[in-house]
Amino acid sequence: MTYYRTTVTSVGPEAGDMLAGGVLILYAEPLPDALADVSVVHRPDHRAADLAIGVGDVVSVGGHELTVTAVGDIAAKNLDELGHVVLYVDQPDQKLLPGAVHAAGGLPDPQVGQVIEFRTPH
Amino acid sequence: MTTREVAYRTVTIRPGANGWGRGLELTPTPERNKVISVTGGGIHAVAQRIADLSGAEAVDGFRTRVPDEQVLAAVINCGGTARIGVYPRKRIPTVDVFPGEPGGPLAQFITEDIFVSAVGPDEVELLDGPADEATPPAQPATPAPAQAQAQEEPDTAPRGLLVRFGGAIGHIINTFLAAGRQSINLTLNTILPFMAYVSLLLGVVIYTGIATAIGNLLAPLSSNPLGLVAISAVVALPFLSPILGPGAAVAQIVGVLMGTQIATGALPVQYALPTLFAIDGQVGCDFVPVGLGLGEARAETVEIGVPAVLFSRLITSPLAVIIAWFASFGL
Repeated sequence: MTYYRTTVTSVGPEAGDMLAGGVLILYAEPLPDALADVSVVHRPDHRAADLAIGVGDVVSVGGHELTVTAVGDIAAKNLDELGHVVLYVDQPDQKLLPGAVHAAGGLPDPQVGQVIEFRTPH
Repeated sequence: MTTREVAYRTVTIRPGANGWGRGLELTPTPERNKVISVTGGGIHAVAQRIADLSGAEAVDGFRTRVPDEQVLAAVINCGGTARIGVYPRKRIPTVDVFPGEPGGPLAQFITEDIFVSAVGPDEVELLDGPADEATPPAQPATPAPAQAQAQEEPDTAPRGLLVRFGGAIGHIINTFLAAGRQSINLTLNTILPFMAYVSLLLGVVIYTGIATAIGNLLAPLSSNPLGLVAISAVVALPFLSPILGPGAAVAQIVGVLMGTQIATGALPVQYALPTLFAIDGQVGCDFVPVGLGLGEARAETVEIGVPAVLFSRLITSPLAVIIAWFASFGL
């Protein structure tokens, strides 16, 4: 089941640098410019009432699928309130920060207009 | 003394339990008087408290666009990656209501002088102490007019000579302190890494003997003008010039050779000037990335600037030899 679906509206000029370091920062509109610079900014079209992100969930970025391997304490709250998720892609050794979601499956290449989906495995 | 004369007051913010940092002191100015709450869900109590005590204005950073230069401080509730680094990177004092600490890709910017965490409303206090605290809370009731007056009054109200003198001294000391801090940062982040890099390069060049070998290879070319042009082109090759720069082996070998030749009369003295330009085409090529770094160039600028300079050397270096050759006719 897809519990969060959103469309990318802009990719910050430094989001690529972040991504190269294995970190994908998502933020929903509206947001301050300072954050937009490093973020993939999006506008959600669909969100379920319960946004609990769980290990094993799938995050699809423009069709590129990542599997969630760990979820920080406040990640779900951030997604709910700000549409904000920090995805650490393929970095199992990185300490799990409270707002982080760790995922495996290779670096995605987010583009404006692409759809990002969060869904449970079944 | 009425409260309006001191509409802007200094607040101290100390780290809370399990917090990071040594604390911040913030004083609003008429230009820098907004506390942005980048927390979602309206203005956070900590942002409101900082604003109330200092006389600044609290705004919701997600709803209102505030230019960076007006921001006194950013209050965040960051999960450890984005907001925690974005504002310190812009040198905007950052107050995290969570017990965050440096981490994530922007960790290097999160320093004690700009960031404090695990801050609750109780960690925010007036610098002068709670004795004066009774007066300011009257202001936020009518923020807009009070602000307008507050900005006007300090200019016209007579201020004691001592206060102004103290303010000026404080400003000077702060400027010097900031200069010292920047110097140390520059030394640590740019100059020392550069020295390490040059040492490594020099070690490789000396150990492998590559520069000496190239110098010996090029030396025979130096006896005629076209050979000098060729030397200048070779030493300026973009992939060679950064290795030939440190240690100046080519300059030494060819330079000494030419010097002795000219001294014994084997070559005319006119060769001196073109030779000087021919053997120095690589000078500084190893320093280009650092020079750009010292100028605080952005990563993209360095990426494009370094090859641009290296390739332009390939053009200017032989040209310089030719010009020097013509210039040496009158010698």
